[in-house]
Amino acid sequence: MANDKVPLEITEAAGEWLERLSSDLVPEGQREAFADWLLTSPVHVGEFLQLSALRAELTGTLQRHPEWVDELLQDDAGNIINLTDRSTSKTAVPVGSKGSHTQLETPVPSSAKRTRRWATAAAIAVISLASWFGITSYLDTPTDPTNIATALGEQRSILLSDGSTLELNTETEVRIRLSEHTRNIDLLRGELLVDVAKDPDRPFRVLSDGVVAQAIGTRFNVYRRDGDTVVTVIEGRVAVNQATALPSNHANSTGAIGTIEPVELTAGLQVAIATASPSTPSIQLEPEPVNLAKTTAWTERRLMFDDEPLSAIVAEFNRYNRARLIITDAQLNDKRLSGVFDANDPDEFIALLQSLERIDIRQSAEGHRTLLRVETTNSEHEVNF
Amino acid sequence: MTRTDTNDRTTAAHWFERWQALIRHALSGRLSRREDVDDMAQEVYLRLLRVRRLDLVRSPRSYLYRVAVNVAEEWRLRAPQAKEHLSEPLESMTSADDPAEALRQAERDRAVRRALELLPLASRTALVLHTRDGMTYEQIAAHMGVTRRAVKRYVAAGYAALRDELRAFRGERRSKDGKVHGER
Repeated sequence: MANDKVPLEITEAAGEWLERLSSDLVPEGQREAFADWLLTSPVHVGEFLQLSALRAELTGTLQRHPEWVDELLQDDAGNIINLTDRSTSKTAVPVGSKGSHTQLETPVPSSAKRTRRWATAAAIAVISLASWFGITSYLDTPTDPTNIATALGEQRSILLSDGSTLELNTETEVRIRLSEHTRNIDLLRGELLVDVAKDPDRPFRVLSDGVVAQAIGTRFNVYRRDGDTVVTVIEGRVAVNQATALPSNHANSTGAIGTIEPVELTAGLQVAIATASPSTPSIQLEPEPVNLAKTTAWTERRLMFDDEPLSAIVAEFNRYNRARLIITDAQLNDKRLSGVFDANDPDEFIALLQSLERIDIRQSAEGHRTLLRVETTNSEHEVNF
Repeated sequence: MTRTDTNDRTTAAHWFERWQALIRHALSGRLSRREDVDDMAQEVYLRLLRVRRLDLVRSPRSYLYRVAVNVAEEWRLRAPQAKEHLSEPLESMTSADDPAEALRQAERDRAVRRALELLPLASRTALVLHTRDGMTYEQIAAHMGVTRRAVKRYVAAGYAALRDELRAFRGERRSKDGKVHGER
């Protein structure tokens, strides 16, 4: 009976975190404490997730049925708890009066009694690594080609049947073709981080825009941009070459691809290969060392900027968010900034910017925001919008 | 409609709404069974451990949700033959005009209400004020004339009891129908 029930202290702590983190700007120290609390135990993680889901469920129900609220807030005597008048809060609340008083003082025993009834229904679960690995079963048969796409702002990781994982960044589409002898991923658009499971008999290739990156037991990132493809190796080695596997009946496949020398990249190197065209039939590959943390920051949904112009920073945020940020002011566009941000949350970036510069924000009906520099002479006037 | 001043809660509420559908659909089905909760928690926990400095992640909470939603999605992809409530693609979840979905929703709402009705009044009140009106524990404490600590207990006990009731409800339904969502 002992281990199928989460101690109430943990539920209380989870509830408190959920409450505290409800505001958007969480102070630095709190974030750390929350991270520590989460990492203390999977039970904490599970409890926080559950309460989040319960809260979502509850909020949804009460929003759909506002008429239930008054009924729910009636005590046994039929008194409605007055919600509208908060100024008289202490006296207006009837929960402390007569019949309901004992209930108030001891909510735990009465609910515990009920839950015991269901305790047998809930299976006893032992938290262990083994139980997790136990459920990780792979599809082990070659599958038909599958297309997987992410929407704007969405990220997704996919575990392939061979144990490799693909992490798809925002607005990315891949076609997965696994067979007995090959593992081919077509990167149709977007960005992909690959963690390849070793299998010497089945080469693992990412094909992007006429570029093929082939790996054996490694981790690498492929970013297909307009006009070029950037391959970055995080671990191991990757050979980058032109794609030869295009179907021969493909109109563009003959002659259009420039002949590039195969290049072998090792960890920490990056190469950008321009899309081949008749005007640039041959491309030189010049691998460059890169900041790997920056290349892979997107997998943690963070954006890292190292002294980059606002124009580039804003463009990067716009990869993730439907509501765009717009800067037209050239001086502002050239301003450089470093920092780590949540890709989902341009507000933090804007808040930082506003702490450095006087910025006005114009929001369009679609939610796009234009950032404007305010001349210091006008700083007396508040702009309302 | 406005039961509290909305200023202090609009941003948070807006943020939460964005996540609501996602969390509910990705997790509720998963979280209605204890084994699923533990599996999910374990997997998410391991992924959190992979982030070297979780406290540097700008919003640990949204990061956590994202990881959990990803895990749910991956499991769904990997188990196409699994129970349908676990394998509905996230894309199909917003179909408000789908009558089958509306029916399911109404049934879920009734279950939530029944579960709420079974809660002690104090827990029920605290939960409703917290979730529906977005009140903080302090505000609820002032409103109910009790300490913040008491509110903390009411809310936690409320969540715990609610979870048990909903779990029992889903369990009953599952055993009755064979599977949860028949038509789709």
